[in-house]
Amino acid sequence: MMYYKLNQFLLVLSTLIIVSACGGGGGGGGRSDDGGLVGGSDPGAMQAQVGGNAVKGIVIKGNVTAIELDSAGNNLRVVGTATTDSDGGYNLTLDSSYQGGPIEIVVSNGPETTMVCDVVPDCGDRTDGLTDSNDPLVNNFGEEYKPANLFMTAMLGDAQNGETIAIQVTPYTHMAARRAKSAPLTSASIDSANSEVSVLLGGIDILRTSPVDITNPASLQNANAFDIIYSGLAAAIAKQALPDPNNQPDLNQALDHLSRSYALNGEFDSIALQLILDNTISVLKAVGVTDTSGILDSIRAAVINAEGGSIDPQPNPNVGDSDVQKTRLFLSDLRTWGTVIFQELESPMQAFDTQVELVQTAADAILNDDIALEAISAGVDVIVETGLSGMQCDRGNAIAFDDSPCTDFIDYDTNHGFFTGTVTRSTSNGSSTYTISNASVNVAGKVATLDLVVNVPANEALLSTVAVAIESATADSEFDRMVVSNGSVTLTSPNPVLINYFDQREYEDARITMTVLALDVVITQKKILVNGIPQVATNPINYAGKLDVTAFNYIDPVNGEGTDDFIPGSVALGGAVSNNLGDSVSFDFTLSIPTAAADVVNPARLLPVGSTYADNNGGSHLSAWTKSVDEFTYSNPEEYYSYWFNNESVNVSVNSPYTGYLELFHPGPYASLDAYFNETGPFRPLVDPFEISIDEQGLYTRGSSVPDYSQSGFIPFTLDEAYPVFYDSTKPPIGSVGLQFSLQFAGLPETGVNITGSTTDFEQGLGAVTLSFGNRMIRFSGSKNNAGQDIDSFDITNQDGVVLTVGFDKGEFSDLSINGRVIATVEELSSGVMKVSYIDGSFEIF
Amino acid sequence: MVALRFSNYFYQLHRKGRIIRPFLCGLLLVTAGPASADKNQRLGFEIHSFSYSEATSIHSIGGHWEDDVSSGDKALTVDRLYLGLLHGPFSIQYVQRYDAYYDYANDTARLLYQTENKLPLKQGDQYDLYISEDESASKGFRFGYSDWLRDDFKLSVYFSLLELTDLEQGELKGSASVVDSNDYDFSFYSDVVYEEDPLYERGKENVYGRGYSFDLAMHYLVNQNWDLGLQVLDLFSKMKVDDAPFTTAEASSGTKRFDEDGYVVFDPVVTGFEGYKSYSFEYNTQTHVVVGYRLKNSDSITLQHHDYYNLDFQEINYIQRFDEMELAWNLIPELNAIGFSIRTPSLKFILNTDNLDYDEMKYLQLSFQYYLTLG
Repeated sequence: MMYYKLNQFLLVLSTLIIVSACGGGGGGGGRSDDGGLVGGSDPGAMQAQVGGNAVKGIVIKGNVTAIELDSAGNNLRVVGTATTDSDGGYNLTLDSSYQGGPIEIVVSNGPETTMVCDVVPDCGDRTDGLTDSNDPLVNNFGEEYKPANLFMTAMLGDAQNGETIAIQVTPYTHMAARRAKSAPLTSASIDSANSEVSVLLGGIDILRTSPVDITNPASLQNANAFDIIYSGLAAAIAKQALPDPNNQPDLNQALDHLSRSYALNGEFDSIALQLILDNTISVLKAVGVTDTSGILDSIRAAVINAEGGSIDPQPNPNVGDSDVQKTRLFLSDLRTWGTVIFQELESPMQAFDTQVELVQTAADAILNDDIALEAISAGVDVIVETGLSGMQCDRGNAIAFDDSPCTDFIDYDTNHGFFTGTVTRSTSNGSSTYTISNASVNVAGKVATLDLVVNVPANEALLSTVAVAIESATADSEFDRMVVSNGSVTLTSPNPVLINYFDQREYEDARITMTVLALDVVITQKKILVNGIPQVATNPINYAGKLDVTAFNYIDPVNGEGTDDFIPGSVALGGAVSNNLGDSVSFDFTLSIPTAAADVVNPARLLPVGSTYADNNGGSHLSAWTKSVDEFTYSNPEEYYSYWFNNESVNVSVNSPYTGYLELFHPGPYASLDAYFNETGPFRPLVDPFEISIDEQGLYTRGSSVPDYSQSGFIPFTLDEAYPVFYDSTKPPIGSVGLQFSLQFAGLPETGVNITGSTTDFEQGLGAVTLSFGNRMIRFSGSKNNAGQDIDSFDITNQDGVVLTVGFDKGEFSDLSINGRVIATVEELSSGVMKVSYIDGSFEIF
Repeated sequence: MVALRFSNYFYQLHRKGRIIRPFLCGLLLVTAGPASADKNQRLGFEIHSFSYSEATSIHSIGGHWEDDVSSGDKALTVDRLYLGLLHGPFSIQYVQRYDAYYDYANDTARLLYQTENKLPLKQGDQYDLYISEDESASKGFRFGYSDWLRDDFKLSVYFSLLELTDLEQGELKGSASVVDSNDYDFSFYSDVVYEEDPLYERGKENVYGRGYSFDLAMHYLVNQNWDLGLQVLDLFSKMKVDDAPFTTAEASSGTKRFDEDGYVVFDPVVTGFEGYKSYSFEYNTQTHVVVGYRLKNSDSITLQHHDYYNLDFQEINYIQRFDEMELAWNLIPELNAIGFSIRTPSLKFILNTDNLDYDEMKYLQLSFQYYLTLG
């Protein structure tokens, strides 16, 4: 089942990566992603969180102080404080003064501190003045009272930036802290002391097992067996305390008594442990709970097997291991998010599915259906290249160089694709504003309408960067409508450009190497492609936000002139996308190819001008024919013919787009193929192109030779203009894509979703989806190593460095590890569910 | 899913086949025969198997769950194999034994039957989930003394030294509530010591345990017509287990799916702890009392009382004598079972059951004894 779920998630991951990649023609790698948290704060600041429960009984409003110690156990500084809540819980953030040393968590009582009595039948006389309607003079079991004294500690070796550390404060952590302090403090000695006490208590993890209020049935119902037993063990301590003058248990005395001899020699009195065992059983009996954890059995065995009346617990390297806790939390997060996300996936119109689809649709609409954007670009282009001079109106082949710009696009030549519309200019303070109205423009065979207002630099300005401000623009294409409220086009040239309204040749000579487009846009989707066929979008999306594109213009290396070829160096989208169903999501999308500038200078491939098509295509020809006695064939990229002769009694067979025409005018039968051509005249193709454009090669033109179709032959096309190919398998794009948006699932914190993709060549790549919530995160990353495969493996990691690898094809799970150390093994049970077995003996199935 | 889990407990019993396997082994040994000869010596082979399931058939509770569930909350099987030499009043025998006692909430069996067969559940119904299991297998040697101390009183005592070969002891507790006719929620905790984890597929590990058991039997001839017998098995016993694998765990419904029939399937969420612990246990004591009355025609009637820890019942026998052979007709009213016994000086065979169709049997007692006098 888990495989199914993960595979589903991988499918989504793949889709997301494709979403990112499709905007940039393949996307790229290079931009490193350190898995950092979305919206994270200063990476240099300590972000460690320490939290847990303070429980003897439940300590409420207790003072919690985190103190950094030196190796001798002396206090260095207070690095955090907190107050326990009504469940005894506390959370504190280590402040910036923390230097990385041992940390002691101290819980003490203040004037408002109360503790829940967990001693059967009571905790002595009530002297604190708290209202007690049940039995005003007695601190009964389950009632809060103010303890006369309370000082409990717990100790931690250190804390790392970004860690979330669970550390309970109980009588047993106090014992361990005392034991640790009996020798020079090191991280290892502290871990050892905590582990020793954990082993003494039958293997319960004293730092990370969360004790609960054992007097509260509701708390017990929601706790696991280990939490309950730990609570019972903590309660057992008070039973051993001597009564103070108020007949209340003297907790400090009890803690000191338990800790003193153990701290000195590491041995624990077996009778004292037997008493703890008996008292624990007594408390459990009082609340109607039996031990199902096996902990009490283990303690009992230790008591029975004790030699010489004392027990010398040996540290178990796996008990109390912080890495186990990190791994456990990782799986908890994974389970929580996995369940939620997979439910979302299985329920269309849920948040995750909907928002991902919205983002995907928006990216498709903006980056692929770019006719409207092209129309705006053409408008800017025509103004910059033609309108700035204002005089290039084609008025009966007479170019007028005066300050009376054309007012109708039909006056222009059609190089820029405009065939209707008007353009006007107004000048103010030296700069000019151009307005294009009611224009129609042909872009790559698609028609768009355009209204555009732009500001151009002042006449005679000498500029290295020419900035054209777009005041407004509205472009309508078949697929979408783009409205620009504000924007700019910035052209960069290595040589300053003299703006000359009256002689365009000044800037025609300039070499524009980089174009930056920055737009605030609203894009409304109109049609979508379904199986390649445009259809009206039933649920069109609207996008409002920015569209920033940086592109690099290709400079012809031969003549040094700028060309129309360019590749995007970066694309950035940031805004909100919504549909007419009320779904919406804010997102940021980035595509970056840092090497793009270099790529346009040195494309991967540029065929030599003058080479033949045969040279460049393994000897094949664009236009060629063969002639034999019974068969004649001809083909060029736009048409083909095939004639063959079989029998005198029937017509010559013809296979061509024009068969009907040929048969109609030249009925047979004929005695031979040559007899047929004698009747119809020498073969002549209907379409006989003079020039043919071949993608990724260039524009081929035919020579002046006259073809002789009476025998086999070909037309030698030669390359007249080479098209640069910027990327191929020998020179792949290196860059990355990124997509970020926020999600809000019911019952879960707002979550940042960060999707990244990177490629190092056409066959390999890496995609990642990072979910960030609070100071935690889960990162899913998939790698593609071979052509023809989507993703080979799938890594799941988190901020603690826990790693789980999933083989995508076989659905195999790796062990769970941290820094290469195996913390848990993962296996699939016969029922298909996953079992995770930790090195400390605990396990989980989900 | 949960149904499958519970079933595993019972399936272990069925799968291990301890009723049949020892029988075959013993038979092979007996037929091989001894080479030496001594009239005072006998080679003995005994197999005793007793199985009972209260709520549903043995076959069903063994994991098939094909038969409806009636009232009842227990199941057990007790099996013994003895093979050895009897010399005068003394004996030494190789022993293999398998003991399994199950107590369960009838709710649990009903829920298993319904969910295993994908029967519609009643919305709002609550089910107690409870299974207590006490299963062990061991082998060793049994030393005995059996003799007529007086003309009318025979005493038999047996002392066994045993080594544990298999173990599965623990319990499962929880509850389930029906959400819809095809859907229910559950939660339970389990605490099981085992050789091979029946629930969570922990790898098989050897258990190491040793101990002893003491059996006692007496036969008193009151007069010419009346006689009394008493047999107490495992009167005293103790088995000490070292570092036995155990698992404590809590499980809940977790994530649900629905199969092609629309019936709920669970991906349960389980958390627990796997460790080792040393402890000791005692075998459940069996008590059998027999009162016999000899009729004028030399036939006899006996009344027996059997107590198998969580099951006790009475048995009536009518015994006919033919020269050296006795033929007994057995009736067990409480269990709706009948059977017969054949006894000769060297052989004894007992078969009691409530149904001749194995798939529908709830009660089966099979006993075979064969003594070969040497020389």
